[in-house]
Amino acid sequence: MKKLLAVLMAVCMLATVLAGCGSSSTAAPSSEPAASADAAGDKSDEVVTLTLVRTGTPEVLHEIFDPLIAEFETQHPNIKIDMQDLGWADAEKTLQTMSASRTLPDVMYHLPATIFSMYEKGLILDLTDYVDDDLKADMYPAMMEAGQYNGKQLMITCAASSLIMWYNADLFEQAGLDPDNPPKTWDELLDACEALSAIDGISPIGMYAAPGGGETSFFFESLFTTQIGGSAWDADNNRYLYDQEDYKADAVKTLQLIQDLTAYAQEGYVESGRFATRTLMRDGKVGIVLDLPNMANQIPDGLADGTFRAAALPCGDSGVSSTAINAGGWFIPTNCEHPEEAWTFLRFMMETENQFAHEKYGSVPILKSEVDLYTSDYMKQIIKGMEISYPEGICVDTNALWTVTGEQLQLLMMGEQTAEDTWTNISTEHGEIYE
Amino acid sequence: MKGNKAPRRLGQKAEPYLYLLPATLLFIFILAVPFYNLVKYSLGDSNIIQGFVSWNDFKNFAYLAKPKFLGSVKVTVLYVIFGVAGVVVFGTIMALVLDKPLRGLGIFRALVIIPWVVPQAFAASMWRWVVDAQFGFINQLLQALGIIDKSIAFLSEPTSALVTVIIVRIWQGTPFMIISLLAALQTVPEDIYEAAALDGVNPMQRFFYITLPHIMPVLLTTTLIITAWTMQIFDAVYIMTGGGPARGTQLVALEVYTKAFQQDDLGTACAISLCILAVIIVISIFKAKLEGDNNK
Amino acid sequence: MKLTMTQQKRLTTSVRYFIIAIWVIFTLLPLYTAFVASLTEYQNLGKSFLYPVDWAFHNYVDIFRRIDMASYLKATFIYSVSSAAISVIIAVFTGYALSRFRFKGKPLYSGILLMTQVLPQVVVVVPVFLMMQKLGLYDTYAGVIIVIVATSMAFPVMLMRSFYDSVSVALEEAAYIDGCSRLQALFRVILPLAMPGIGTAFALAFFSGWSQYLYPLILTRSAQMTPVTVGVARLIDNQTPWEMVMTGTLISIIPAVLIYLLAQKSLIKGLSNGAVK
Repeated sequence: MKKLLAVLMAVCMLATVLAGCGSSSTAAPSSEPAASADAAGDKSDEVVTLTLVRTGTPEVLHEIFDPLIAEFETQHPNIKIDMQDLGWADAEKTLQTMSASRTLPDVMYHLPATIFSMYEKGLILDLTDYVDDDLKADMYPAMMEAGQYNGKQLMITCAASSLIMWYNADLFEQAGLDPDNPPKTWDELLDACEALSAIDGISPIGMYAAPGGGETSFFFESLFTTQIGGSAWDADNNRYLYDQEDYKADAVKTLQLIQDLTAYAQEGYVESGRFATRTLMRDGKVGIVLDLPNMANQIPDGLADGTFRAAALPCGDSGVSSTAINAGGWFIPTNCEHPEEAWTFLRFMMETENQFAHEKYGSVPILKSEVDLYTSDYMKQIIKGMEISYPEGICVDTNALWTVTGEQLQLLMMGEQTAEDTWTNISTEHGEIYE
Repeated sequence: MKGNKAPRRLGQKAEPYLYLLPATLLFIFILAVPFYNLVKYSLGDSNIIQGFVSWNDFKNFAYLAKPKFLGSVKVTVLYVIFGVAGVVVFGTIMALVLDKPLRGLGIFRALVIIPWVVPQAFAASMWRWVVDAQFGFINQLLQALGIIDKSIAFLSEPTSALVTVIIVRIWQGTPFMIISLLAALQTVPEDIYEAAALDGVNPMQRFFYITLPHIMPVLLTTTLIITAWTMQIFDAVYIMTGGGPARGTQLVALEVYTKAFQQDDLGTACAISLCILAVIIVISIFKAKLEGDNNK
Repeated sequence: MKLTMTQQKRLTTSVRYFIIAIWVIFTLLPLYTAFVASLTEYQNLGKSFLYPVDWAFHNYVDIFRRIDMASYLKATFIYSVSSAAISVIIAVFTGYALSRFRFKGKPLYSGILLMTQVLPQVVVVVPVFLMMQKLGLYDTYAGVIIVIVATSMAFPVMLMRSFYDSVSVALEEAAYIDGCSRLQALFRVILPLAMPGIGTAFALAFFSGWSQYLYPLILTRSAQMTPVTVGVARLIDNQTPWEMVMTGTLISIIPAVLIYLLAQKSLIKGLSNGAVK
């Protein structure tokens, strides 16, 4: 009984001590950044400190950014860069709280749908007048457009992905296909799948149908651009072209192709995401996968010895192997007190070599002047497609639109509904969102 | 209930409130504003950044009658019923077998609580690898043993996907139940068991007539809390299935999350939350009644 | 067919071991998979989950270099220990009031308590964030701890109430006759009996503090206040290094389990010292 009381007392004391230690140890670190910010404000003619957030994995980003920031600070002794970390998993939530409290960093990287939606709420600086002709001329048109909303340049694209066809040359040979002459049209793609289906123990094509994240929407939209030979997005009206009656036939044909391809897909493709299909490619269990350039990081060995290769997306009726572009980029929030300095840093990041260094994080080239810096075969393949690519449909409602498309595409790929019904559902539900 | 039996003292009226003060202050401090906001946001077009924007004629509540939403209510009811029932049944069984001395008991007790410490998002990633159709542990094992030659795609079909996420829920929720009940079991006086043993009571009778009544208050409380938590779960399911396939695992809590964060529609998210709140209130009234009956 | 006492005992013991074995396997299945993944090189993820193909134990060293694991663990520890201790202290009094007093609005109070458990974090976090900023508690341990306690206190309170309910009022009355005040009776008579409840409430509050994610994420910015959950989740990307995420997760589980083991030991010791009987 007495012992128990002693234990209890100890718990209470421990509690008070710990509670005390919890709060007392906070005082020092929390006051520190505030003090430095004040100092910067008082003597604005001396040093300006900019906060910087690049959404992504900190360990990789710091490796890329620390030397760049050091170089920038030497060039601009009056500007200091304070880089803070934000992972993708937390990005949307953190961004919304920072927006709600007007504490966004001075320069930030994020995705256009969120940026445009924040612009509608008065949080984003219009960069149209900042962009110089050199940058305009150097960026691929699709990259420039990806950051535009209602005619204003709100984001400067600095990372992007396109869709390309990855294939296994060994399996192609086994199936009697010519690895140097991969399928160029949808019909050839289906024929190749048919030929590959003769091989035991593999699946002709790796598919992913899991909804969310816009993975399948991107797949559908990229193929749709090759069918109509142009963008899937009507930027003037902020709507998808495929939702319109005029494009119904093209959209249904694209959807039908996706459903037909599932006949050749691996077991469990309904639940697969891109990660799963990348491992299948690596392990030689699929012949073809339509995926982003990021595939390369998971299959480095096979790429080096030529087993795995990349080719342009097989095209539909237009005969053009185009692709949609999924982009992210820099923006400056309106709560930034030093927009000139922020732009100076942003512009520094967009210089050819710095942008090239930044792309190590995972991106296709953004600037035409970078092209010669890339040497690998698959990158050359991707670069070929850059002039005929279109920014993915981006507006304030993008996330809602993708949710619908993702759900409907999964139903289509499960064989629960026909291509025609899928189109009807997508265009009706999108219609409700546009309203 | 029992308070009236206590001796009357000066200032007795104020005394209970004194004990409640710290907790109450904390609640008001942290939760009053959010609760007020919850109601306000649900009445109009709202988003996280701007808060309440404009009145919209209860459009947010109209969503609650849409077939899409009703579909997710059905999924949620199944998920909660089977998830909670699983936690209660397995939690009770495990607490009983882990109660009395046994060689290695300390280790077993420590092992079974681990799922409670694993953050939801990571637990979901782990489970994905257990059940994945292509490279999942179960499929690799069954194939290596030659039991199957075509892999089983647990998450590719609505029913089996729902069963899988329920199993994951049971995996995560049971440790909580086990810990609570293990503590409750220690308050059952040993001499009653001894007396019962002399009377030749069988284990079944012993459980239902002696153990269960003793652990009932804790069991009810824990079940109630588990129910409230289960209704709120979304990240584990979101990561495993994204609500699919064919909305087969689209829980109401997932709707709240997608509405608030992905579709910029905080108003509807709050309307749904109020609806969840109402259900919880009904359940807690039911629990209060049940306890009242027990006390008679 | 009647079994003798020893036969019956042996049978019960083997049945218990059997059930425990099945449940332990079920519990460890995903953890084993994570363990296998944590020993794999990134390029080989998914090749085999039956046994590791790489035995890349260096992942367990690398993670401390690649992310600031030690600092994350420290922050997590501070959040969970402090919030658990405060929750328990509050629960001791609040639970007592709910169990022993009859007062106006008691059912309502219990209802509100429960409601705090179902307010969606999404709704709570933004106003709380704004409030913390005004109070100067943004980016402090104290701010996060207050929120964790407020949002996860309901269970410790209700658990303590259930435990008080199962303690007979007669004991207390005897103490009053001896001249104890109510507070003295609570500390000398009731609390010792409700010790398993306190231990359990502490353990559960500790674990819920351990896996907190959204509140520390939103309410702090400095590196030294980042808990493990947030730190490890930052690795998630369109090419997540899953082997690192799993290594980090497994490392973060170990201290929590050790602490539970310690707490459990002293708890059982306290009980076997004869307080209950």
